[in-house]
Amino acid sequence: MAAARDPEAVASALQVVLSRQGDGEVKGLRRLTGGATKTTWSFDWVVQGSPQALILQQTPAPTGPKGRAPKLSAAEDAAVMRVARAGGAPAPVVRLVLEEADGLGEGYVTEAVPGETLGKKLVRDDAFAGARAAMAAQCGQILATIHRLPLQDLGFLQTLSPADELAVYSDLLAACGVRHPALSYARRWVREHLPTDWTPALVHADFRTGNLIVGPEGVRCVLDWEIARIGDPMQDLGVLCMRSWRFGGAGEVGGFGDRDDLYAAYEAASGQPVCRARVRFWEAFSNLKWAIACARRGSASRPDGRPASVELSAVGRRLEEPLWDFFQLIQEAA
Amino acid sequence: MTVFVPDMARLVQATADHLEHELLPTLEGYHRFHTRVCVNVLRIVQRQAEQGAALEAAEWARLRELLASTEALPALNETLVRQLDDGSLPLDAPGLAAHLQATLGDALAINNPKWIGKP
Repeated sequence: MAAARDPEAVASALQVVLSRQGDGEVKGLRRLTGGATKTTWSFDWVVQGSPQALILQQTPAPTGPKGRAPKLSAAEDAAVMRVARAGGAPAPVVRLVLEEADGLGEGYVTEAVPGETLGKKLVRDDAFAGARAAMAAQCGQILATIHRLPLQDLGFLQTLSPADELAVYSDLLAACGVRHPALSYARRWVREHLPTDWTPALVHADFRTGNLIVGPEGVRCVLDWEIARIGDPMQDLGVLCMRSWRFGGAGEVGGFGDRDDLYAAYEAASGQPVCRARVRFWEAFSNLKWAIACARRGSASRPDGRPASVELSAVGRRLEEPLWDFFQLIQEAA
Repeated sequence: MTVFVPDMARLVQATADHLEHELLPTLEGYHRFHTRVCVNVLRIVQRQAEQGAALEAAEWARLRELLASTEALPALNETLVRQLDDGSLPLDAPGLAAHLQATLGDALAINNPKWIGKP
């Protein structure tokens, strides 16, 4: 069955799905973003005159063979969010996971969290000055919580050692056919600096400005759990510090905060030392991964061979940004 | 070569200026976002038309010295990729990292000059 995509069809399908949990009415359905990978809608579920703000996320059915790159199904994604929520991490509250008979494709409904996600506003606007002062420490506490979540109900998660990560992303690069000396250099450097001493934990892997909902008091919710995996927890700290996700902000943590605040809060909350060298390794490696993602987007084609959208083509020309930062990082580390 | 008037850079500049100053203010939402992307792309093309040849010549000169070869630029880049991938060229080879950084910096001067602190 084709998944409903136009607003009227989505609203009436949602009405049927939600009515199974009790009486109410879908109102004010609005498409928020139509990303290349998913479509997000906001709406109110009105029960006896009182509206509950909910979010519908539709994820397209996977096409082609399942690669080794971790990409969770909607049901797996929701399961991770439920475990995270139960363990004290501010993941969205999952109300229901869509089933095939619902006619909406893969996806789930979560409770809406009010706040700002746009990086440029978070790192600059006066309204978030208080949030910026608190967020590095909050992120340290949240990451410590994520990294001690119980894994027994998440058997579907892939475990990726640092060497596995390199193999997965090298395969993605090879598949898109881009050959670039700086990418080859960066892959060699990563291969020659793979950490051997790490303790597996649940890793969010995309924990960064842009995927956080923020209010004036700080972080309210962590979004986008769909590439979670089991790996080296220091990876999450490295991703959060990448310059590509600072949106021009001065703070080395997400454009808003200081590394010392992040590390101190993580150490206090986890009881584990932050290995600063390993965070730098993952920051460098994450820059390589983002560069490979840019190469993939920039070389993407439509079925008829024409280039993919102008948006994806333009992202291809961002390839050098993370590679430039990669060289800065490995020289600081040397 | 044929004298093109205006040349490629100015032709693209005129197009980008029109989209940015005439069309963009009339748009919102989806079309505003994607037209902004189109303007940014045309600015990249304009800078590549202006600077691309000189930057390529500099890259080729560095590579000829680094690899001690006089092959064409694409062939030298392919050789460099192969030697990095198969491990035959050490990462600390003299001039290697400096060449790659210079090439990345030149590409950023075209693709996103702000990333390296240029106007």
